[in-house]
Amino acid sequence: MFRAILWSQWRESRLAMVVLAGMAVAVPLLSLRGAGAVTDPWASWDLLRATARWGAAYPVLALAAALALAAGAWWPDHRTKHVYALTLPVSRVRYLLLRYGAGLTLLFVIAAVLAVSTVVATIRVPLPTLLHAYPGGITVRFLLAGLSAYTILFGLMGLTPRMARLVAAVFLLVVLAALVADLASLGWNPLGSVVDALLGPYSPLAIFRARWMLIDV
Amino acid sequence: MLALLAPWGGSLHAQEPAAVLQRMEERLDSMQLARALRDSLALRAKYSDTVVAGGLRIATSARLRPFALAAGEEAWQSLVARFGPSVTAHGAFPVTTFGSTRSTVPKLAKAGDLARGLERSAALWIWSTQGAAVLRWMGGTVPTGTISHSDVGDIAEELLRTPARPNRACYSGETMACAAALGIHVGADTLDAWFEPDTWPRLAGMVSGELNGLERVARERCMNAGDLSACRSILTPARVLPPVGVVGRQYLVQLAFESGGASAFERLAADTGVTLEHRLAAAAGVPIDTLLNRWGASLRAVPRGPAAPPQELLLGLAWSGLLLTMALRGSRWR
Repeated sequence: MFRAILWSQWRESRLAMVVLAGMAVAVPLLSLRGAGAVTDPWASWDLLRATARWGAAYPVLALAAALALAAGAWWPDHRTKHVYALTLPVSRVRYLLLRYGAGLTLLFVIAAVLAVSTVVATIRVPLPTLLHAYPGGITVRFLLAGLSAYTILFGLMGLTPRMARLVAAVFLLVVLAALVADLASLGWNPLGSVVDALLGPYSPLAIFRARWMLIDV
Repeated sequence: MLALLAPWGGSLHAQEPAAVLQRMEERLDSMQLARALRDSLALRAKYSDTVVAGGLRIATSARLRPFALAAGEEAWQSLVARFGPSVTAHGAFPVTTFGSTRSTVPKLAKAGDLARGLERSAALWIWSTQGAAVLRWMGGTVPTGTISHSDVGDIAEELLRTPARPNRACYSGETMACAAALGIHVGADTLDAWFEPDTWPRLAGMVSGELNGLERVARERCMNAGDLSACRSILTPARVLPPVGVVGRQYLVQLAFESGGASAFERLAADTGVTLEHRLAAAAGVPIDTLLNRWGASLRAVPRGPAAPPQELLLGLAWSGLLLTMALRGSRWR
């Protein structure tokens, strides 16, 4: 049954998967393409600057993968009004776990492509002394960020229409409260508080604020 | 006009440019202090109430008094903790103004925010009156708060990124190289002590700020033709990229204060006639070599790279597990 669901997930998200896998190959290779000879006094400067500049691409890639896979996990059921899912002789929890697992498997595939690409990219570049390449570290971080974002988005996309409307209403209320607080000079920004809570050091998305350096000290 | 300026130009030319610049900076500092005092005296007349919290004086209205007092006391405690109990020994702080007779305190305003602002301006005053030379060395930026673990990592990265002569040796543990990288113990030729000549053309390209016509021509010659004398004329100590930036220097001061305890700033400010390294060593209560070793060791101790630490891994997995459980317990199909 898992294979059937994995196949259905692949069919839904194959275009996104190919694009994301292509990006996973391109980002590490492009980020290190301008690396000069080790004897160049500016080699470390150029390498670290380029790595930092391209560092933002990894969390964006993780978020895009999570979004595409979470949408792909739910889209077939939304389209058929969940008739197929309801006719299956399995519990809802088991069915959802299979759907979740199928998306997760494809996330692992993109992470594996990224791992290979980062290893190839860092092998090709001569590193100045005292600098190190972290292909494994960046892949683990990508996987962790993708997992957190995928789980959140999987939960959000599986909401009932009523619950989805409720979430949207709460979000609009927060935006409205932020506008009113700003106009009344209350010195408090509820939207900022929500963003801080989502990206705070112990939040599920905290990893997106971490350092994403393929080459570092 | 040129004839009038000639005697000035001649006398300036005969002097050491760095010494002239330093004298001009000192004059400017004293003029700015005098102006701040005059402004604070003029403003004092406009406010109906003055709050006194330790050595801080805050001109405010009667309505804002409790708020200003709470913030002032918090700021003062923090200043005493940072600079020692005899922080006001060298004269009173200028009066700070807060609000006016018509102002009200926002309902959700925190005294802590005002306290931090008061502390910052008082700290700038303390540094500029009692530690002006150290403040200049820190690029005129007063250290605020504690330099974080991640900032220390950034200093380590800067040390290895900038192609300065002493940087790699400093990172490997050579104390004198760290002194040179931090601008504490540099020879007469700062540019040559910091950078190899083959890096100068690119460094010249990084010079920002206003350049006059001659300087722009010299920069072009340096960058395009590799003319080292032209590079020298552009890359003055004030303009050249330092091997370690302001945060790295502030971190050394922070380590000196941590090592020196409550009276560290008093010892730093006690003798203005000695060199920077002696003042920092006096503040830290240890030889400058020990202080620089600690600085270098703490840079090397920061873990770098994107490898997820175990707590980050556990946190990510725990959140994912929790959110998945919530999603599985949803009400769809029920």
